[in-house]
Amino acid sequence: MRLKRNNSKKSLINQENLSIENIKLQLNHTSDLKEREIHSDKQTYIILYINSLVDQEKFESKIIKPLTKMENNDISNELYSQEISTTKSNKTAINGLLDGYCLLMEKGGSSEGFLLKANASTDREVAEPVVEKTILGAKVGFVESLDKNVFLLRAVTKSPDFTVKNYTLGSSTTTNVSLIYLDHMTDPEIVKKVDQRIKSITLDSIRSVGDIQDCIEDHTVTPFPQLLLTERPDKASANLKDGRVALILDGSPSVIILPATFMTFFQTPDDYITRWWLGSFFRFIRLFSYIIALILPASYVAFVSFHYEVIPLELVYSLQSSLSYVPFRPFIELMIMQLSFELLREASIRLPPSVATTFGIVGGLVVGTAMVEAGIVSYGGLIVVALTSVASFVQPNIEMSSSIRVLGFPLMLLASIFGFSGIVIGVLCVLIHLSRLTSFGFPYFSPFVPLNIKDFKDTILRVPSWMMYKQPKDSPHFKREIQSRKWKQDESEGPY
Amino acid sequence: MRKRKTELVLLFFILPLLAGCWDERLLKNTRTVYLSGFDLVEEGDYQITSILRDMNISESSRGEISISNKLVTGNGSSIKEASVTIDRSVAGNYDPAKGRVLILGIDVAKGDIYNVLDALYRDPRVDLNAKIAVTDNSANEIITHLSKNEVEKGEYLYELIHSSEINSKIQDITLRSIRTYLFDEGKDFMLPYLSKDESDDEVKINGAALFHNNSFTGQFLSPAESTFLLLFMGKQSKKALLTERLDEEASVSVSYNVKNVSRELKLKKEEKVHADIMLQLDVEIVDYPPNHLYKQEVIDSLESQLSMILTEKADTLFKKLAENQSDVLGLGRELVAFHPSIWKEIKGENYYEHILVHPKVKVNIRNGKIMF
Repeated sequence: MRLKRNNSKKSLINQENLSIENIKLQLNHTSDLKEREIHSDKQTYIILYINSLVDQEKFESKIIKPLTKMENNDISNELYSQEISTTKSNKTAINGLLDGYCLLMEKGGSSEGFLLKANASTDREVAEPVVEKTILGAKVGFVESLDKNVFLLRAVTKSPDFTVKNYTLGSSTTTNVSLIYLDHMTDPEIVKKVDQRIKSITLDSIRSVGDIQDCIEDHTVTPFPQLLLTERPDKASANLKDGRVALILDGSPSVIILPATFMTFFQTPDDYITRWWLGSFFRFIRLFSYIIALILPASYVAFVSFHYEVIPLELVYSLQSSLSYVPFRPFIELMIMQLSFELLREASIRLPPSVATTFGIVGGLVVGTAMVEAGIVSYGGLIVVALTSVASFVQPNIEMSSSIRVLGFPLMLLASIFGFSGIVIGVLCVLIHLSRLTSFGFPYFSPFVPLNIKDFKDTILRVPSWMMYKQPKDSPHFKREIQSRKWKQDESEGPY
Repeated sequence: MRKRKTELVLLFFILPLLAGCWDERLLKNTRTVYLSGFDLVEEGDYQITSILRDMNISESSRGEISISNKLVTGNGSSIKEASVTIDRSVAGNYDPAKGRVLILGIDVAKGDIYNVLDALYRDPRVDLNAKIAVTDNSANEIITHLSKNEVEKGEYLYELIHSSEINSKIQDITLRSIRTYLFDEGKDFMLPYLSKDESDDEVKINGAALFHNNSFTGQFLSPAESTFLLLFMGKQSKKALLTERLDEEASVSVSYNVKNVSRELKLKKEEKVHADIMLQLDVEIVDYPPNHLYKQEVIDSLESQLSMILTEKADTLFKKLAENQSDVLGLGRELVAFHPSIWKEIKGENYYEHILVHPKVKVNIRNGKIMF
């Protein structure tokens, strides 16, 4: 009810015309909205700003001081502010004020106002990424400021093709979003699609990248992420060069990369820094660990409750000896263990690092062994769950690794009901689902379905960079990079 | 579309009820068989003797493993009935799926052994790679002995048979491969022949038991004879080591490893079916103290000596086979494939009577030098 009255009160006033009173009313006479009168030689100016958003020092030195000493009326020449723009619209002025601009108007003058940038920022220093660590890669991570993030990205992607499109999202509280792509490298269809989808977001407010992700992804009912979140400028830049698009949200250190395919989540900057066969090996390990994490718990359940005849004889006896003390069925046993590991994992995220180490020892070691000794789980179950969670940590992307954990439970259930055939059916369903997924119209399970063996070069394998394509294959500038090793031919023909 | 979706969802909920946990066999509830043997006891009843193995990982001192064997027996007029008797007597489900060795008592072996194996073939979970062996006594006795004496030795019997196969001492036969011998005519087989050595108090492989038409003939070949026969069959494994005594007085012997075998078989029908087998062995001398094998004449004389000895040995071997009418070489099969007209004339239970084998062996020494 109150909301309605407020709105009606505002709507009485003509919103279009720029006037101090008007703005004050629209901002509800908030206490930190300050008004100051400044007398220069010829004119009296009124300056309006939101105290909490304005950097006082900048404000004094770059706006107030030059203003008082101003000799002619040419504001845009005399002031040292970073950005100066003029506006006649009330709405633009309010948005500017909310972004940390000061509104400067001549007293009794025209209805034109100047927006002067003097915003305070809480920028932290650029630091090493916390989640996506690398061994040899750059130690630079995105920060919470949009401008700085664009700067970081531009700094590693020097190209005239680098294009930024700005959007302001949210109807009650606004958030700035930048869409970045390399013009000649990127499929214009994708840019158009992203543009349309972002424009269609009518959320009241944007809390995080998750909100954007929810609104623009192709499929919502799936455990697989279709957008890649990264906090590394080098990774984002490499993806831009591959013809992908980046979305940067103000206030978020995670940058959205799209369209992402399944294999995109298995790439890390380290792959390209180490030599190619090592990079390929690590990628293979990652893929292998993904499969292990998905199937191992289900296989264990199937083994001990249906098909123990396939376990080697010696192992049968040792598994049996510790299983015989467990009162639960294998599925329940593994569920208990998996859930307690999930608890540990969830709890350790919020703990300060110093406590987390102790917690890890107490939680992991003590609880694990005590559970076995108390006969709640068997040694086999403990090993399987521990291996599974280690394997799921190998996945470089957090969302992808969570997807395996989520998929693991239904597979376990299927295995406990149907045995091996259950696992086969379950994995088949996952594969069918993967093949049907798209990310911005691009097939998600791409080099496999539809099969494109040539693209294995940079998905399962990481071939030497001179064997890769310079441009996406369908681009008109397509050319192979094999020229990079032409020196070998030159040298052998040379004078030596 | 909507209807189809509801049907699918319904199907998903019905499926667990159909397949359900009925088929579930929990590992913790089973008693896995480690070894089983089959005997014929009085009144035509079968007796199964099995070792059930238990492993206890001690709770207090972690990692300490103690193994205990439990010997169970059960009688019944069929194999299945006997195993049901055992099932009743043990806690948990008696499960023969993991038995890697099946021992046939001599009485069972002398009858049609398929009577015992039938029940195993009908169980889809039985290990088809299980080895089969025959004993000179009852299987019960051997297993009782093993359960007392070889507790800690792991898969003692399996390893024993397996290593003999690797050394070409016995034919490589498993539960799966024996079936073709049982059902195809014109081919017999041999199984490892176990006996308890009284002096050493150990179970040993004495040789290869000869079979004729699914039943044990009562005769067995010594390991050396069996290796030799395997060479004739071309079924030796990588290691086929033989030793011949060349000179009785000076006690000179030569040991050699057969590297390669080529066999030429000619079958022709006269009064009887004559099978001329020419066996060429490429051998590598592994033990020959007089040495001087770098001289061509030494090699030549050794080759001719060995060829002579082996041809003689082959004659006695095939006489032994003919006595028992055990066609381990599979000459009948050869006739079926290449001389069906001959086979039509002689086929029947005792077709091997009509076949005369003339073996000839030629030895080529390929490598005799000492290597550094």
